[in-house]
Amino acid sequence: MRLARAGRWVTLVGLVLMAGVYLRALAFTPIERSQGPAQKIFYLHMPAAVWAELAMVLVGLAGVFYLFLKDPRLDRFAAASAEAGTVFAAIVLTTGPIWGKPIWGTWWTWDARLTLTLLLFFLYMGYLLLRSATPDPALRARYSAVLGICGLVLVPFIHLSTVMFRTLHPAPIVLKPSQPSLPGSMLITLLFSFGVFTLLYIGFVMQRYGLSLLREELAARERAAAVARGRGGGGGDGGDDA
Amino acid sequence: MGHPEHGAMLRADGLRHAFGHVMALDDISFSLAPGRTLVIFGPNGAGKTTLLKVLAGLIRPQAGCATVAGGRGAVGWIGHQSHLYGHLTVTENLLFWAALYDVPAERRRARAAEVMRRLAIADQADRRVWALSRGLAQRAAIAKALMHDPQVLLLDEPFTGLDLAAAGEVRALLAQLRGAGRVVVLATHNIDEGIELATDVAFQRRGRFVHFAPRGAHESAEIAEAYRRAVGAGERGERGGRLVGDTLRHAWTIARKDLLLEFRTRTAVLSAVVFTALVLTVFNFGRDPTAVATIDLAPSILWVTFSFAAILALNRAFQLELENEALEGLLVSPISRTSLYLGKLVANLMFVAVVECVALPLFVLFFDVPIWPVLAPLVAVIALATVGFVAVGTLFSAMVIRTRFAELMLPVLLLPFFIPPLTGAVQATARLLDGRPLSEAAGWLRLLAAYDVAFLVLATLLFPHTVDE
Repeated sequence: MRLARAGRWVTLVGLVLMAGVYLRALAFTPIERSQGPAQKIFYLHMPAAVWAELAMVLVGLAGVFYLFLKDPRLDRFAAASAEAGTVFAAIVLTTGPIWGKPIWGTWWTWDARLTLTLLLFFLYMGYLLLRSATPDPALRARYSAVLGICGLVLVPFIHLSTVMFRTLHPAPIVLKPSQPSLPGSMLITLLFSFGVFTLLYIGFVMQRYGLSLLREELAARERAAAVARGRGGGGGDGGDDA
Repeated sequence: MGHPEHGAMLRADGLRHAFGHVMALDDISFSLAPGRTLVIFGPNGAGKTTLLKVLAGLIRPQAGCATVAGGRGAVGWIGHQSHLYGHLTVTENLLFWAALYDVPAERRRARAAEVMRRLAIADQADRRVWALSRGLAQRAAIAKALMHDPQVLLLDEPFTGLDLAAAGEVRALLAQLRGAGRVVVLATHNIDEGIELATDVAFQRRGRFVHFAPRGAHESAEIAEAYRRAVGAGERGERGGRLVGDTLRHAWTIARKDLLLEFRTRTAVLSAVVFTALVLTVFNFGRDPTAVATIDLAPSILWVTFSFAAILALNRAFQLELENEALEGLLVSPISRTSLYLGKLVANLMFVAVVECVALPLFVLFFDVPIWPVLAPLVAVIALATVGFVAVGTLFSAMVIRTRFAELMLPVLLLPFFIPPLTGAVQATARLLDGRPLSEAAGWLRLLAAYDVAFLVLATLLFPHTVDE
């Protein structure tokens, strides 16, 4: 309960700082010449996109360690990270079309990077659906780890396809081999936003991790109560003989 | 499951296993020398099946270890399921399992005839298993477990479904095996079954052995009374097929069995082929040749058709084992998990290849696309892309069978993984159909090859985690 509560506070601080990001983006960062005010959405869109992918990387890494260590904390973290990643992927998919309408003249286009972010979102949805469709906790953790690892390996292929496929997306301006071509004030706003998104990721994960602990505790109590009821009623011992 | 010391054939050391808060095994230790028969009595839910599964290497205990002299190949297992394929005959089933247990090829038929004679089912040899009565199917299941002449026989409620005469024959057979130095562990909830076979008796209750002792000269009635009083109140298996040759041979045995089953039933391939024809027809209705040239749409139509047909074919890979209740039997057998994965992969590749072989001419016929000048490179592109998505699909199909909504879950999980090979395949196909040289698609071909290698290796490594308990 303490972890979930702490996570709620971290998220709250993150949301307050997010307001700061937008204050800085709107009032203290210059307007981009070719795209105009629509470019401001970039400060939300890009850090969310980075964290949508990073969260999947962390889900995969947690899966690798889970298969070796069988530590349920790793599974809880992977599930929490996947839920946070789903939120960030949804932010990317929402902010992308909002930016695309004034710039490209359409809400949605089958641009490679947009499409592949949609696929990342589907990957997260598949991961969460697999978890909900696997009732046995140990099996759920193992299957999730397997899917998470496959997702981790899939992400570079998605990136590679993006580079090779035709795209309308702007070329990378920050994460590229040469110096970032973003002006200093814009770069500071972007880094500030990235820090806030990092805080939000941590807050989300803490909350979801804490909630899954509570959920497990509740399930254990329900099982114990069911066993006690079975004994009281003179029934079987409830063991697994299958 | 390793090698127990001091002449014991079977040894359990401090086995513990819990399902949630329920202890299925609680500090169980014992060892059995050749010629011993341990009969475990216990009520439903006592953990007997869990104990047998741990001894068989089906469940990894949370603590302690079980060791069998000779490893998994020395174990014969009769569980709640028959592990027999309904569409194969009794003989075909026995030969399949004998091949997995490395019974020499020249001895398999003679051995099958011998065990069928001993179980009085020789006259059923050429009947398909689905046509057998429950009692005959149970005898066939016991025959299957005896095909490799196991040193240790694990039986979970083996008399279920047998009439009195058949149960008597099985008891006589087990007594013979005991006389021949085999170790038998038999679990049952019925005190009247198998008691005369026991050299050792255990009563299991809530995961614990509340009684474990040699039977001695005690009469059945005394044991039954003691039972009522008592109950009223890692090491993993030595994996067979360590050599590459063994792995591939076992994989081919499984693939051949899947192909034979498919040949008998023809359900998966036929439904995938019909589905393919329907998809191509629907695309044909939907296109407007005056708006978009067919050649522009052709690569996407072709690959969407292939991928949906592949999902249909992949969905049945492990469903087949579930329907025949045979997966457990495959996992107990001494074949490696790699063999099982590769066998399924080969069978799936063949199914998908058959569907593609039907789809391609239909595609040419319906859309009038000139593929003949580029047929060879196009086939190479199809092969490259197919290997990648079948590798992932085979892995996921093993996973989804134990989930709810298995049929829906596979496409949901697979489609994001299909996209890189599909993108590469569509791009390469587009260039080929456009009359451009394959070298223009070199980047996409490299992507396809890298995807194949990455996911073949990954799926082989991860597969055991999807089937082990």
